Amino acid sequence: MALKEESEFHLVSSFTEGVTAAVGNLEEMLPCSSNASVNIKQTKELHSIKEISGLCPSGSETFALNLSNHGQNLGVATLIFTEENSNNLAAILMDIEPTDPELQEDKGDILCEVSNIVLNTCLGYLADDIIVPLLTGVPYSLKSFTEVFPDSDTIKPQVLLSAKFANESLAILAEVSILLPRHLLK
Amino acid sequence: MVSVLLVDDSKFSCKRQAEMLREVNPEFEVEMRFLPSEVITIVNEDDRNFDLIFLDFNMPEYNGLELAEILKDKIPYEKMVLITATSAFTTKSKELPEGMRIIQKPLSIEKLQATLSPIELKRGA
Repeated sequence: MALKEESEFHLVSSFTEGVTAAVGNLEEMLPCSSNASVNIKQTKELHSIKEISGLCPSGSETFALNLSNHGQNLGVATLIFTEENSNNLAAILMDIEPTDPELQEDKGDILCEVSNIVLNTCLGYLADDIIVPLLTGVPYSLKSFTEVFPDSDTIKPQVLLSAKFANESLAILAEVSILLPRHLLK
Repeated sequence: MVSVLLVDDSKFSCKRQAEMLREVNPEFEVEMRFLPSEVITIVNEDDRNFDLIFLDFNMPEYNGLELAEILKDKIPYEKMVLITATSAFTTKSKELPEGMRIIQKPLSIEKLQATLSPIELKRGA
């Protein structure tokens, strides 16, 4: 059963507010002023691990927070970059050139922290749309969605919320994707 | 000097936050730790004391609230500040122990000034 139109409208509206606030928080972290644009995509239902795995195109870098309730993993929030964009963002935050060898040493830590702030900000705005409180885990670099859904044969339908944000002057482009189990949405 | 312990598993975040703390109060002597187990050792076993402790919420081993509970017999909640990006606090699905303060990430000078007491800020003036 798909989401009711009214629920979907509320969900997308909360997500839009969340992504906008998250991008504002990211901009607070940057050492220079910036003005990012946000492009919200429609919600979509995914029913298999194959569909979910397609969210991370090959060559992309994905940072994730697992969403759980009472220790049970129920969904995931991700921040997806191309390698070039992740290098640009980390370099700006470290105040070094993207080609600096020091970048690769600290990049993972920096982008996990960026993901922690961006994704948790978005999730805070979605709390009213979910029937149970979801706790976020420690951010990590996600290699495959089978890490999140190991029992891929019995996956419950997930609602995908996704948005892209871009800052052309700083050459930063990223995609926020949040997968929430449909049965836990109001 | 005011002894400050800053605990965050992100080294990047820790360094940025330490710089801001020193900016709001030049008398802050900030010690950084990246894992809860290190903090438990220095506080509960080595008997180190601190005037203020800043704890990240999302950390491996123990989250910031679990760590605070472990430390509370040595350091009162009034000296603890939770730094978090976690939405559970903005949505009230998690509650803070009485006396403990909270700051939302990303940290800023303005947020620190609004959270720390005038006495904590004036010490460095």
